[in-house]
Amino acid sequence: MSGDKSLIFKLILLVIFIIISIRLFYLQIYEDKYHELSENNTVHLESVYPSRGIIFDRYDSVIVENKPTYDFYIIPKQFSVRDTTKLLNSFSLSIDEFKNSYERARKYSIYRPSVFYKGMSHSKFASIQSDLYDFKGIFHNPKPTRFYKSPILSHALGYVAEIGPTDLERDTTDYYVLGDLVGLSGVEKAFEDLLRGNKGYKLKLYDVNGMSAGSFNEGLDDVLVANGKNLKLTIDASLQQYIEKLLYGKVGSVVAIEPSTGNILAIASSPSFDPNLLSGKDFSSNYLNLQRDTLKPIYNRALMATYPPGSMFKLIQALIGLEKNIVSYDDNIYVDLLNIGDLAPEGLYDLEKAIVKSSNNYFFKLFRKIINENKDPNTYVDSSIGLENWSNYVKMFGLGSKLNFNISSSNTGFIPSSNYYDSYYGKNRWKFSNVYSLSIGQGELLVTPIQMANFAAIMANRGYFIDPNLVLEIDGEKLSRPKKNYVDIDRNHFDYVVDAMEEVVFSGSARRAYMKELEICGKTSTVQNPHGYDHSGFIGFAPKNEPKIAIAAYIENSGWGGRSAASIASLAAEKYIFKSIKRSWLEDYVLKGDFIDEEDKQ
Amino acid sequence: MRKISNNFFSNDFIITGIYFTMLLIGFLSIYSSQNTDGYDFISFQNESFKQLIWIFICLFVFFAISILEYRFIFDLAVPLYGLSLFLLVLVLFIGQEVNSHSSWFNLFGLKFQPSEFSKFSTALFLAKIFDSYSINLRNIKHIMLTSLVFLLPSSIILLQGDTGTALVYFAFFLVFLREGLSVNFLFFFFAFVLIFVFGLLVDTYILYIIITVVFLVYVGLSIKDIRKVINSFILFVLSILIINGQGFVLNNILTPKQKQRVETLINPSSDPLGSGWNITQSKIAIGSGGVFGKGFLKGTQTGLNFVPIQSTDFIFSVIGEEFGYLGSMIFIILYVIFLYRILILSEAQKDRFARVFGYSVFSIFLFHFTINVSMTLGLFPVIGIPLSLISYGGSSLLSFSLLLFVFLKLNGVKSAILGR
Repeated sequence: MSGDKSLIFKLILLVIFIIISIRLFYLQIYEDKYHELSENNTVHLESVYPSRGIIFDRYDSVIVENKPTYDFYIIPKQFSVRDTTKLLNSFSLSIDEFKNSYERARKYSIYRPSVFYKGMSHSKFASIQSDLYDFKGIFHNPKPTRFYKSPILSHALGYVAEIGPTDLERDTTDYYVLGDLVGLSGVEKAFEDLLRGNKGYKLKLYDVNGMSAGSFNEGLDDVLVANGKNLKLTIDASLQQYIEKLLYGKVGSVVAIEPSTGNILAIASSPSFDPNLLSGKDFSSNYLNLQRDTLKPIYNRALMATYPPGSMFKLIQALIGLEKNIVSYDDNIYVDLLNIGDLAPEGLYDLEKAIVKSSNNYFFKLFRKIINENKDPNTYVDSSIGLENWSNYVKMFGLGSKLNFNISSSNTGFIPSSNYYDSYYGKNRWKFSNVYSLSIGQGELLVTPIQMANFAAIMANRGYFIDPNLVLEIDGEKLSRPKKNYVDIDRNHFDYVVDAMEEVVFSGSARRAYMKELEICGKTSTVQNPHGYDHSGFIGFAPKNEPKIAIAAYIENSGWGGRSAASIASLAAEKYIFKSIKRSWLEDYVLKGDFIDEEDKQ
Repeated sequence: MRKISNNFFSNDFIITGIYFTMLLIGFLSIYSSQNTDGYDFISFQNESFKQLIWIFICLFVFFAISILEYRFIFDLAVPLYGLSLFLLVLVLFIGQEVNSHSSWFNLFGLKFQPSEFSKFSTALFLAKIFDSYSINLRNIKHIMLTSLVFLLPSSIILLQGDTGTALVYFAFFLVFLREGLSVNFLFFFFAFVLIFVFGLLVDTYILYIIITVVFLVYVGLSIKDIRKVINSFILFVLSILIINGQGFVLNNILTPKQKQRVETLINPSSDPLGSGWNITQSKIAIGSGGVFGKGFLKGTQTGLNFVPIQSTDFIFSVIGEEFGYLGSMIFIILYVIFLYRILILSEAQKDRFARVFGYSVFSIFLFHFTINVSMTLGLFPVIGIPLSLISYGGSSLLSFSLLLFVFLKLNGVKSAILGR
């Protein structure tokens, strides 16, 4: 110590130097979070919302378009207004509501923008635009929202709403952030990737007061917004609108297909809802109301509802019978009324007459022959083999499984197999007498309206179908159409059954659907319903040669198939083929909607 | 008459060289910290322009001192000290309040801070006292009396509410160490500071146990020397008092703002938008500089005003952000060389007056440098003292320059005498 008296000060200096160097090393080199923190401070990601793809019908008329709505943000640090009442009036907020959102924003950050008002309509925005200048610290961002000029096709279109936390978690693409719009059902969901486009990003610099200070890195890192692709649907909007008009006040659905292509011309479910209700800021409350409605207006009956096919299933039974040589075109058999309830009289029947009169007892006998071909002396085993065989034929008609269709959320329906009855009754514990209801399309059989429309298309095509399809073009590019799915049954048999369908309309149960110029062929169903009035069903196509439209209609609780369902389907076919309606009396009959006879109403 | 003035520029190239480099770095940093979008460079709104004026004033003073007869320095020591005490008291009554400190005079728009100036006069007066009265720091009475030289201005400044500047005067403690104060005082001082800081971080019971164990071990080792036992017992009691008094200091002596600053240092993330804002943003600025920095005028924290009071207290964050680890280390090394050089030269003074004054200059610069940089790095509570020669502020720049120039003048006399 006696030598250099400055030694201790040199040591102090050295220690200070070392501490500062280490600390600097730690902050600037070792710890790498600070770079990000500084960018978080100053660089804000600003989303530029893409315009969602517009949806057209097959004739290029707009079904779904966008209109701007406005989200408002507040930056508490900058917020100041001279006239609070004007602010509250402009946003139709109560003082408490505003205070709440202001406090929420302040808690988040006083320097950063927080949303405080969402989804203001364009017209409302226009009316307050001039006042916005007086509200310091309040900013707005336009956001395109779905708009439906005429509310049709709601179910098939689906709806678009803000992505919820669960969907956000499921999203593996990392595209969405909370508050982004996403297609949640129907076409909007199925074509989400194409319709939504891609958000653009602008990296903007903000100073400590949240004032914009230009682009980050001269905008080189910005991502341009890519608008969504436009879809051209197979739908004929005017037909769709007409069908929805006919369905108004009824519960049921109608599906119309162009048989040669599988393109869906119309797909309607009733009751329906105004899709505008599910677009914009009142989504949640409107959705809740629709969900609470006992008639289930959101439920897409065309794809989801399952019914027993009823008498229209006799067409399939006839085709199988012919194919298996159990019956031939000229066979006549005597039919009594002993086995099953029937509206057709007893007498001598050939297959065509059986179809036209919809003779239950005829098909009872036919189905027994289909099931019991005497391939095994044991009647139980024989029934099992026969039913399995039959079931495989039925499935060729696109029944019992999901159709390969754009909108994935559809029901499969149900075609029973031997396995099903084995597990229900026990193996070799059941025979024809247990399953005879199937002969007339009742029992365990379940089909969806779209499956039945597809079946109508098979009849129209005399033996094949093309997977149903909703989209013609994406941004002007035509989609390639998949191949034909053949039913392994002789085409001549189809011709024979189609002749019978023509007769059904001309002189049978579907006489109401008859129109000379239309050449409509069809078959009605009166589906037994243990819960109330029978469901009315009809499938058909028109014209008989080179069919343009195949159609299936199910109207719940409205009695005979020959009344509501056949009338609606026939009117729809007339509308599509002739673009206008001549049979105004039939239209009036349908619109009046009173299909049940007085004596049945008790 | 001796030709001293010729030697003035040349008596230490390192110090004058670094001094002017620091002025340049300071000016550029302040320039960068100013958002010059809104107005012209030549404007009294612009701190970097005002700093430039002060730099020219310093140059003028530099030449003035170079031609001054050095005897004046001795003669002025007493009157200047008296004047500065008078001004410190006066500013209490007619001063202008800035940042809740009433420590500014406003003379025709130019603000002047007597507490900055009195650092210089105190250093001068202290040197005079040591030189004239043969102060012996083994004598407790001498220690008390000479301590008054800096405790007096420090107390008045504390009354102004400027705790940071008041603390600076405790840097003279280092001068006392050089002039014979027992090194034990330094150790005790650090020990007590450590105990105080640990008291904030650790459970007090753990501290009690540690201190008791240390005390008992020490007593056990020196049981034969009764004086050591008594001394260590006094220290033990003092330590316990400090641990207990720490809560008292936090709650009663420190203002709520100061208490918050201490708490913020310990846990800055407790309130990142409130009291932690300065430290957090300063650390982000420096940390985001990385190895090479973002480049001059390209600091986003700096350019977009994220670091408050950046041109004064947090000026180092500009250097850290824009010039990175390399630039910061060059700056730190330059500054350490600068301090080291002052230290070496002070030690080399034969004259006690010059030596005491030199050590005062060293201590004040060291204190400002260490505390200010530690503050921006989040190592020390924010006490609001400038980084000497770099931070914006005329009074402080002039005061630091005066300290340095007068020291160089004294050193020049020595060189002149030796060179003769």
